Amino acid sequence: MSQPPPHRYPKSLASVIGGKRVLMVLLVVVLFSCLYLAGIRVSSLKPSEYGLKLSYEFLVAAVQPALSYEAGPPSADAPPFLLKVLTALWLTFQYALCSMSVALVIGFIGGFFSSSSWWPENPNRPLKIALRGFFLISRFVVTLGRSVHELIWALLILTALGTTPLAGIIAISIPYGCTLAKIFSEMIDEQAGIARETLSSIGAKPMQNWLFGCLPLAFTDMLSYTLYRFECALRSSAILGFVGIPTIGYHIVQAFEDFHLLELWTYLYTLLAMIILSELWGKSIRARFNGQIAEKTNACKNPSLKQLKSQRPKSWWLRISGGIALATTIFAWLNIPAARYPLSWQRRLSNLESFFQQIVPYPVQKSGDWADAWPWAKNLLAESGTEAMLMTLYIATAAAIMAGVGAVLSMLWASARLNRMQSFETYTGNSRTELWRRRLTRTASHFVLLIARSSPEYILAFLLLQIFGPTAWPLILGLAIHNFGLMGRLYSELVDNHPAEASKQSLLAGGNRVQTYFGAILPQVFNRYLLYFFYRWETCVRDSTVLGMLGILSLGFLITDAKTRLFYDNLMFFVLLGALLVFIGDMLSYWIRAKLRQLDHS
Amino acid sequence: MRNQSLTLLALGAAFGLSSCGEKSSPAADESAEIKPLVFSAIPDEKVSDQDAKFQAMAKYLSATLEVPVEFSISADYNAAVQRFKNGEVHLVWFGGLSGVQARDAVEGAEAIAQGAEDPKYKSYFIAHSSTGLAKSDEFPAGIKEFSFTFGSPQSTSGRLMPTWFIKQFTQQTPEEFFTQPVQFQTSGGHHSTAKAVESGSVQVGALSYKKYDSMVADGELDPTKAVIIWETPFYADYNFTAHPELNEIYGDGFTNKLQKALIECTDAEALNAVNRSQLIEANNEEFEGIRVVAQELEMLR
Amino acid sequence: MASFHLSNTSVQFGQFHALKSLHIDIQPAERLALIGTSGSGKTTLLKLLNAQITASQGEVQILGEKVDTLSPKRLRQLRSHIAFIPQHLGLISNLRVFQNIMLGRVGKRSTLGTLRDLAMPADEEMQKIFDILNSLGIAEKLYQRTSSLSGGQQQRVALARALYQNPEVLLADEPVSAVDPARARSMVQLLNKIASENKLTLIMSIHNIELAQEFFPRVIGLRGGEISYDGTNSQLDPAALERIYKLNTDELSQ
Repeated sequence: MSQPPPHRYPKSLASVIGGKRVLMVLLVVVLFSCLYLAGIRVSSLKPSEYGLKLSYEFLVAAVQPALSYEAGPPSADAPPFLLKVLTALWLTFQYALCSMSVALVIGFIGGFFSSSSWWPENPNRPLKIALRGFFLISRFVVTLGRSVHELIWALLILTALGTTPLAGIIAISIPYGCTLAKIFSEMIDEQAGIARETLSSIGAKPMQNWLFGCLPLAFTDMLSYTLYRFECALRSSAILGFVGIPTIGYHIVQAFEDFHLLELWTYLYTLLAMIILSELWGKSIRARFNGQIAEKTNACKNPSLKQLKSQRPKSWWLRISGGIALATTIFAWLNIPAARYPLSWQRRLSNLESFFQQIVPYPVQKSGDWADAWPWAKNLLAESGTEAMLMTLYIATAAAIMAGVGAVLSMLWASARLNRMQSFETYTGNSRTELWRRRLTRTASHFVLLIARSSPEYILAFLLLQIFGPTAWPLILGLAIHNFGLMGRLYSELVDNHPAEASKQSLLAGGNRVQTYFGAILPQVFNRYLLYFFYRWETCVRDSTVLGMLGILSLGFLITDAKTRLFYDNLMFFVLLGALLVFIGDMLSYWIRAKLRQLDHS
Repeated sequence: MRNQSLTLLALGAAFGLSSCGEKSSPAADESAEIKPLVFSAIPDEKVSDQDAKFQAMAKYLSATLEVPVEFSISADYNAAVQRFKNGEVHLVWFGGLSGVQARDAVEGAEAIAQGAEDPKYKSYFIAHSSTGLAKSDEFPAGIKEFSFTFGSPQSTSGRLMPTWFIKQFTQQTPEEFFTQPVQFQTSGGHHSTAKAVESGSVQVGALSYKKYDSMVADGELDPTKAVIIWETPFYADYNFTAHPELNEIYGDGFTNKLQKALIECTDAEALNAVNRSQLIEANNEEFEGIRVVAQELEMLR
Repeated sequence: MASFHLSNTSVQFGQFHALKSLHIDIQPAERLALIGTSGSGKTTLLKLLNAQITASQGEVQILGEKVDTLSPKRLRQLRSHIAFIPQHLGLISNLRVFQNIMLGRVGKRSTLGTLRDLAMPADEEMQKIFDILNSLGIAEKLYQRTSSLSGGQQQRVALARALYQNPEVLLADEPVSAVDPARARSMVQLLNKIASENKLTLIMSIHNIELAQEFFPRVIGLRGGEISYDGTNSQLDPAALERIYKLNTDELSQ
């Protein structure tokens, strides 16, 4: 008699590489090797005496944010302090809003051309070449746009075109628009299979398929992502201040320079409040599309067509929000602050021309022979480029791993499901103290995660640098804290929305919540944890290319250093090196995530 | 109904884009009004202080030259050079290196004035009292082991010349010489250097002698906490550089008029802006030495 | 002219033979039930009939035309006459019920036309949809978001869409599996009634053998990709059923 074939459990990435324990150990090993290779020692985490004193003053100032100028009004006609704060806040908001509106346009156009699911079935040769051409060009441009951080775009625009209030808007719209284009096209293409089955099978043309199948199916995800991007735009707009554009980041740096810590906290609080409010608004919009808010159903028994039409479900909140959003956007565009000393367009054009001349590698400028570019590039790489690239990578990886581990552990306190009395819809006994204790931990950890993810990592790194001194730790910690907050939210959604059935068994067998988490839930959602982890790692690589601008050797530092010497060719080289690093990170992350998805679905 | 909000937002974007644009401020209209002369300075100290102080200089120049004069702060050294280069500002109080960079970028730009003592400028190396270092006439090789900061990366007295002297006296670049990584003050210039050393957040620093002296004189800095341990040899630093377009905009000979106004200035408040007791003539050749140093250190091409 | 003609048709996915050498002729206005175990090839056969998948071997003719000679445009035109209800219903969850039903006509309208239909539907069309929904008992869901309906209600919406399409052929892949038995019976009865009234060809895969025997004049039983039974419902005796559904020990342990 033949042996029964062995039962095959669905594979996980961990089982492929020898088990989850091996994976966790691997991650920890990678973390510490990154730290070691970057020359960072855990011992340098100890702040100096000055650092301790500063942290103390910092914390003390936190409870008394300034409501008026700390050292008196700076000049006779200075506006009241709170007005200054609100003006800076409005400028930050305005730039974010204007950039997002442009980014949406870029996103739709780019997304359209980066998607192939609307192509007609049998195009003739010229059309096919044209379509493929548009597709490849669009994908290339979108990837290039995304790979350069908005701070670097701002630097480049200010250098190439001179001071202009549009610099901040353009600087954010380019990478954001390209990201939207990529994500939109991915979301839409993901639905192509279903749409094809649904609509093509009853005779729809590919374009109809795309418009009425893929788009509506992807719509909720696209909207959700756009709202998330807007929140990020607020943060990016805030840190534009570090390159001289007067958004809130600029005032934070100034306040620190003047050592007005109370004012600093006012800026921080108002920035956080703005970001948190916009997140709440985004949540309310999303809830109406997720079906979390049930629409009213008709009360009467046999409604006629007319009655049905008049009782159509409509969301007043959506209409009001949409109207206000539109009005505010138009208002923001019409009120972009004028350049104080506007330059003529001829001037800007000649500036741009000379910029393009100067970014040609110096030896090529002198000799006119592009072959000279190779030794120049090799030299830059050998001298500092490779080291900086690696440093950037180490910082990003260390931060991502720390954030990931922190987020996984934080679920014990932050997950709503694990911290209710009725976890997994199962009665777990009656205890008032435990009920309140759990409520407290849940609220407190949610709050911590919220603050962590709402704080721009650049500002966190800047403040930590003052306390810990010029090592790479502040950059890593700043990145790690911000991503910890983000991953915490993503993970808690995973844990809370996962079907409860399998996990329940652990509780029903007498296990406690910690056992249930590590023994039952974690194995089930581990693949998706990794998915989010690699997605955030990719973003960390991108962010760490600019964190070096705060003064720590890495790509960002080399970029500002080149700018200081007016060596624009070196500047472009390092910018492109950064873009290359981000691109590689993207590819790696994409490949790993594709593999994870395969394993998830098997 | 398809989601209205998104349609609205998209419409709004389209609408918004079509009505965007830079609005010119009234000051830039090509009406019969005279264009204001905009001047700036490198932010080698706290920007808020600088802005306040330079108002007096603006008033003085305005009265003397009979054209409206405005001061506009620059975000960093590079911004000052950039703005001069694209004609956004026509007169800048530059340092040595930034002045050379600016005059290289704009043909016909002239250094027209400098402080009376500026041909003989120097830097101080200062140390926190806890280092136990004392003033010496020799180059203080003992600073090797301590944490060190320059001023702004583009500063002459805060970075270029100290680097040069370190190289001269130790045959090593600062990165090779110091055991701990070298720091820069990304904002606040000499003021930040002084404060950093005084508080102990960094142990040794290099900065402009003038800034140190005036901070001590104003009681802003405690010289017992931030001790001078070495004075560098002399070099030329700081100047007012004028854009060649000035003569085009305001008429022939305007630059000479400007130079005269600066040199003959006796307004104490105005001179306080640049922290000098008197201004004298300057010319481009004086700063050739800076150029040579900068090229040697690969700060300039 | 036969509605469908399959001759020596096989479908192979890699090493897996989904359908092996089928010979089937289906006449216009025939009503036929497809039965068989899961994995026997019912869905594959249905997908073959509106050319969602192509045969690896053999010939397939749809509405008198050979599939491999069809241009994309002609195929679309043919498909607009064939309504297909997949197992997962093929509804766009974000759209409203009436919009999903409107999409039934997508093969017959231009892109702009469909856009207009979805955004600003004409009154007569709305009335037609309302009547269809009424006959299925869910008229009050007209403006609701499709995702807010229960599984059984969604199946009825899918059915409504197929009916709105006004097709010549109706292909349905287990359309009543999520509905309770009483409702299932009335839906199958309704479908057969509409099919026979409008002379539609109706091909439905179903796992409820009693319903198949009661309403469908012709039954095809598939097993392992081959036709195990092809005859009238009256001749469908327990022996034939056993041949279709027999599980031997090998299959049990898999």
